[in-house]
Amino acid sequence: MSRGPTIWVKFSGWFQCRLPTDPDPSDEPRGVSGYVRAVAGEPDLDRVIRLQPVGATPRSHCPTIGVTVVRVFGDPRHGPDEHPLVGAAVDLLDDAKFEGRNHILAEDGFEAVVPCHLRIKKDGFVVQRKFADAFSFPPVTADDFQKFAQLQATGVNISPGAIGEATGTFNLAPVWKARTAELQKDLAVAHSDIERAALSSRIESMSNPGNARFFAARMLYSIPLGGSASVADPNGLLPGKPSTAGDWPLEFWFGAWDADALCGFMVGFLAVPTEEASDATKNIATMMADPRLERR
Amino acid sequence: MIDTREGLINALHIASELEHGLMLQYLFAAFTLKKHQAEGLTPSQQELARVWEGRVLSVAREEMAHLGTVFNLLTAIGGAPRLERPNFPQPAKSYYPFPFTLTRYSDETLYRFIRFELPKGEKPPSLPVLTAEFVGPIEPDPVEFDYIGELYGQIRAAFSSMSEETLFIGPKFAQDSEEWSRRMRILRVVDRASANAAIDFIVLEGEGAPGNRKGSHYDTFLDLRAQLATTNFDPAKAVVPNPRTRSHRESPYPATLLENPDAIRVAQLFNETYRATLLMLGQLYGYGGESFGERTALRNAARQIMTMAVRPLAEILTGLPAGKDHKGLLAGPTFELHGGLQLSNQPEARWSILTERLGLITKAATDLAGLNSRIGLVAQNVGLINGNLQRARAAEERL
Repeated sequence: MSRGPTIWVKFSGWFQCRLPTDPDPSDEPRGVSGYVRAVAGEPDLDRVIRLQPVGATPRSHCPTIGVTVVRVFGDPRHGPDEHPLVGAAVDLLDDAKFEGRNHILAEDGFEAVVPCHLRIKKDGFVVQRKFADAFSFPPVTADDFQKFAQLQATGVNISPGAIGEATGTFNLAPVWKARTAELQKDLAVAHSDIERAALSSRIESMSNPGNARFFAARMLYSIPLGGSASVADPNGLLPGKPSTAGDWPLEFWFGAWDADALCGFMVGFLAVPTEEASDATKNIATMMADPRLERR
Repeated sequence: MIDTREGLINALHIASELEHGLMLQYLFAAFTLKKHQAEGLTPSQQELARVWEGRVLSVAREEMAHLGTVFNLLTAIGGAPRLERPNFPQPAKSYYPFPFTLTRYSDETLYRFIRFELPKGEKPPSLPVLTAEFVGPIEPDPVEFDYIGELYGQIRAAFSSMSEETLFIGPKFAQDSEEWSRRMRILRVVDRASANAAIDFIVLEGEGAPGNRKGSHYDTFLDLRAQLATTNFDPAKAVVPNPRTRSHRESPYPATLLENPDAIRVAQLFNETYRATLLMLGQLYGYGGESFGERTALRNAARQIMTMAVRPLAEILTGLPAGKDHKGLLAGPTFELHGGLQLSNQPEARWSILTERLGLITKAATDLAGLNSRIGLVAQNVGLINGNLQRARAAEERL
């Protein structure tokens, strides 16, 4: 097989995850003891990481949910900003969740993304790949734990600069102040009990500055995608046929956690080798696949 | 007057039972609060119930910290932790100066909670409208103490009057750390000053300071009762008082025998999970040569099983019918203890018993997973906790 270029797809945007937080059990439906809560009129918390608006529960005056391709590197036919894949929707399929189980499986900030099945989609174009086909969760065997470790965050960085550059917000406090003012206006004209209860709860939550403390934190992930893949590229947006002979290096971070919106920001890169992967791409994927049980 | 080591240990054992019993009664009431609009709540009532549950759970968590701090006080003077207690209910005068009873969240229940935390000298709360759920009158037991703060006052006086040199014979390294979680602080006790600080910490969180009760358990329950009085809805599910799976000879008082087979099986699973939690705490505080790493693993496991198994099972129980003779009523967490809670004096046996018990709980929960998907998650979690403990133990053995 001949060697083609490796395409590096950069994506970013706001995601939503409505997850109860410690000391609530991870399946707490409404949020009682932790700082995350489902407000009146909202469905139960479900922990699903949603990169697209479908199934999300957007709150008023909050960021718009949607992770999309923003640049594409490595395609000799197009510049990074002009690539036809720009704007493609990026998604985690199969109801991906943060799995830490209140420190049973992972410490705070080191939760795994399970399952990890990434899809990039635009019009008729689809590229998607699973982390692994043979992975049992919750982990039981040593092999399961090794794979679970690969899905965990490799670290947590306090990165107000990187987050500020990515989101345009270097300090959440004034954002919450402005949003609270908007919600108070909405509350003054709210007609229903349900609306008043929801707005009051959100205003109360944002009055606690401690609830904003995770905005500057980034969870860093490096995951080799080595499972089954699916590719449809009818219009030749990629310079060649993606090769699944080796792993595809996937790196991303989740950060800018807005505990009112229940949203965070995501920035990531997916490397897609066309034809046979180059040695450099293989080496990166191999490093990502190293057993890192010490992450736990 | 307490003026001997034995007397002080006895008083601290009473304090242990009190803190343990208070925590369970607070947890029970919190778990009976409704969560969903399908249970008859309007959106604003749903929000109120959520906030109230969170506040009562927060107090219960602090009672857990008090219990750990009392264990540290015991350890410091050569005593052993006491995790045993009589089963519920216990009417006033029979065992404690107050009735100890598991009842759903209500004005009566909050009245009893305020009475538990009432500082000596403060005006007693107005009496509730009594119903059949209420067990016995509130009357102080004149034998030992009328207020919890009074008991701690006697304990503090003993720590202050007895010889510091001869009193503190417990190994310092056997003290539990303060690092339970960001929200839960357990104080170390190594001398008179730290003992008094620990007692003051417990009393302050419970009663507050004279002239400033804000934020104390007493103040919290006063506020919750006042809020409840201004509403006109029933925030709690129709959970029976003092649910149990069998009779208990040390508690021959009116209780609710569960009859629904599913509720009984889940209650039995709940009881064994609660008991396993106590075994972990007993091993953590009843130092038997466990290494630092092993104690850390035990502390983590105890914390995790409380939130990821005990609480979900308790909440599941409040959604199951109590049985045919309790039409329309629901079961609840039983918190039953069958037999003693003796901890082996052989560390190897302690680990084997704990691992064996967690394995049995995992299997029983797996068998019941068809009843409720949350039980399946409990099975996974207990299995993972058991695995973590075994790996921690193996890692220590390799060192």
